Amino acid sequence: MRFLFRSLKTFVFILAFISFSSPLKAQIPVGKGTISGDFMLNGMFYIPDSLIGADKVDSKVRANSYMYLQYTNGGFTAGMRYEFYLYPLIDFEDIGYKGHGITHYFADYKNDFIQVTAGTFYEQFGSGLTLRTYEDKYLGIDNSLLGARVKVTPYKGITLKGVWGIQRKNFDFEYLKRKDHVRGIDGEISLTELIPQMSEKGFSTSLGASFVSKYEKDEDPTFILPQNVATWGARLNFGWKGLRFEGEYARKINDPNATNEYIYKPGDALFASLTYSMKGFGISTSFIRADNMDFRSQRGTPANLALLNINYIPAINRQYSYQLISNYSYASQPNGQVGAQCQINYQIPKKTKIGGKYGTDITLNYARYHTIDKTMLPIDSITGSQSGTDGYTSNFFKWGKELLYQDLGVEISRKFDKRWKLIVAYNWLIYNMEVLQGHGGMFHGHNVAVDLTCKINSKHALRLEAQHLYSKDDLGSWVYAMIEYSINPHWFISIGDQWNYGNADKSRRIHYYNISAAFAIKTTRIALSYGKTREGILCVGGVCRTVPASYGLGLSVTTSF
Amino acid sequence: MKKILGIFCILAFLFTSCDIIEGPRLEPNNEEKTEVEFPDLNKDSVIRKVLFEEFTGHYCTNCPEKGHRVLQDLIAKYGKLLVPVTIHAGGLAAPREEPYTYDFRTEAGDQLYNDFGVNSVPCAMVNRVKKGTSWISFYRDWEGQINAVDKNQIVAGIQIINQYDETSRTMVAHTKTTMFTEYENPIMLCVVMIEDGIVSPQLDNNVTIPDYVHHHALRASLNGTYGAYLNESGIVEKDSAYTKSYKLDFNKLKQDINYQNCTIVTYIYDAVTKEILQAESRKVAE
Repeated sequence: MRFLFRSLKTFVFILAFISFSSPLKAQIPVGKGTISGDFMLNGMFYIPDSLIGADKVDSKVRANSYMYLQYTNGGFTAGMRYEFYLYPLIDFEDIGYKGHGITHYFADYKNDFIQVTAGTFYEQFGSGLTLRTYEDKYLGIDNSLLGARVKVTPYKGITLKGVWGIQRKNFDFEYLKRKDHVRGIDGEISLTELIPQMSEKGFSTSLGASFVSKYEKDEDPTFILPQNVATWGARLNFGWKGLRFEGEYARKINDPNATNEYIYKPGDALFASLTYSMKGFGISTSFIRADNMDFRSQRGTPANLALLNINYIPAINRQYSYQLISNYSYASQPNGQVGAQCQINYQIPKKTKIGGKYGTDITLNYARYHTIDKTMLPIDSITGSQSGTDGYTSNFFKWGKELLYQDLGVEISRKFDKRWKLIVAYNWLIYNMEVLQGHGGMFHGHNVAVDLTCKINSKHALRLEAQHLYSKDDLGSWVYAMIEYSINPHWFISIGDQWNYGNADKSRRIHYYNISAAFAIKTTRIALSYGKTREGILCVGGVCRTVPASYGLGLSVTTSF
Repeated sequence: MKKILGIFCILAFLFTSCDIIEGPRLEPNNEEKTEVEFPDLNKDSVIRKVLFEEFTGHYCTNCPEKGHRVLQDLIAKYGKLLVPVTIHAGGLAAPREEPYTYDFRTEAGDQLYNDFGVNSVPCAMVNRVKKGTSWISFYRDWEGQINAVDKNQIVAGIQIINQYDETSRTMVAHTKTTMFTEYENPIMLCVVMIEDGIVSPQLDNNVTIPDYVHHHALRASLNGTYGAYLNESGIVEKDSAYTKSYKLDFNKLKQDINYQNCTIVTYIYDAVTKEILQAESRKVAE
């Protein structure tokens, strides 16, 4: 308790310092250009707690921090980011994201005809089935390419891109010793821009194609491995008024690697999405199938690490921020998944008896994923395993028998008056823990969430969030409640608790409480939190990492300028 | 002309960026003709040995205390019963800033590290027997796992004869596996080389020890990470014997490897369960 008071004193001191300092102005002029950037520090003081499985940490105080600076002058941009993760949060240490250095640096010039980039850069071709380099600070992912990129627009509506580089591998900066690199080209034709009459009639259409190849030296003592592995993809986007279609098909040649047990079968993926929207109504359907499409710079990278991924196979199910079901988020399976989803949004009109003064929004969604159909081929007579063979055959149009994930959800959102707003949601989940998390069986759960906001006046607001997850599987049922009080524009205070009241082991019916306070001024936010985090997973867009149990005091500082 | 040149460049790029391997997909192995006579094997003198594969890294601060020294204590206690192989693999084994510039890693070691799901060191596999759902275990469990190996189940005996040629810096490891019992699953034989007494820095409880002595370090695999079947099918009969010989060219290995400190480790394992059935070791130069 004494420690908590000491920490609160420090927090108040930091707040006072920030309050009396002159706040950073957005973008700093330097000559004819400007400098902008952002800074983040996310730290934690760890307290061991054997009950929740929070182990003793050697270095108790840890933090992730970085600063990004960008200089812009007309068409010229240069930027760099320094990351200090030498003693990172334990989640990041577990996935090997540990070290420090200038991890992102580039110079970029563009005009109407050409854009050239040297240094590290992020790029995506189409929906990412062949290439997507990006960073996600929450997941500890940064697979940027170090090299060069050229984008050319030879004619309005036609774009050609070329990339060549080595992927970032956490804090391993010894690029000269690397035996792998990635190169790719992409072209896109926007018919809407080429033919202006199309847009006048409400059409929008584009066609695209990409080709990406990676080189990795073959030093394997057992197999003759392809040193150059290529993927190609073709895509079509079509829109007419409220209707929109997006589709992409990609194929990969033989790529034996650690994630597919060194089989030589080619891979392929299909993503398609059809949406229609009009005033007060929208419907969106998507389909994805991926077969042996895990594609990485280094073939030995294990499947459980989101590292050195060249492409991205998206998850199409609805993403939730609800605490209790986030632990059962779907993790995209690039080596074998087929899934479909449908989401309908409808607004009961405003100023009607049922819709109320502001209207009532209803969202209905359903998503389902299965494994792909597989017929295993005979094992190799020399290796005694599937390694070295084509592994299996798969019927493209047949779904596999094993269910991976199902979500049926309904959400109703209504603003009653200027003060009160209510969101009620229900989800029925089926989640294959064995495949998606590597342990346990099939999880079945029913979750109800209520989010009530009361805007007391123009400055003060109170928000209550309550959830109940009913299940007889995994850790059983949970209940969650959180109250957040905000005083605009500076203060946010919240207190919440997750209680695993339905755990079959009565001694493990644990409360995971959390108290937090945040202070914001202009573009700066400082937050202090204290409490327990349960062991689980964190997913963003179908890419997941494990989160170890932790207990302690957290401090977060972010600012941008 | 420029357009034709551009299209030509793109096509050249596309066609040179794909390697489709139709077959063969296995590297030709280094198998040699066996030209040595093995002495008769006294079955009563054969014990079931335990292969102990330790995973480690020179930048792993806990590895000496919770890995190397624990293994040394086990070797002192169990003697020849244990056949140790120390595999430097993973992020903490990678070369980095001074003084940790040496690269102990091997292709075979990296493959084992990935295939058996190792994600932190120090840890080990004891006879490649799963502990629960995991292949790997940590130091507190090692002695229990060694004791749990059924020492009465002696499936086979392995003999090794090494021939090293100083002029060409090559060697041939000859092995003979004699089956004492029938065995239902296919059996594979793997031959690797380890080296003792390598002086290279090691992080030890957050202190860099510049002249740390590394033992049992995996240096090379003579017949691939997973070896080869004892015979064509891998199914062997009681009282049958199989000789296999493999060549190793030291000129293709790290130049600082001292053959006088090297040992050939040979083991056979169940191709289905991966369990090690027997292991043997013999110094390259005796």
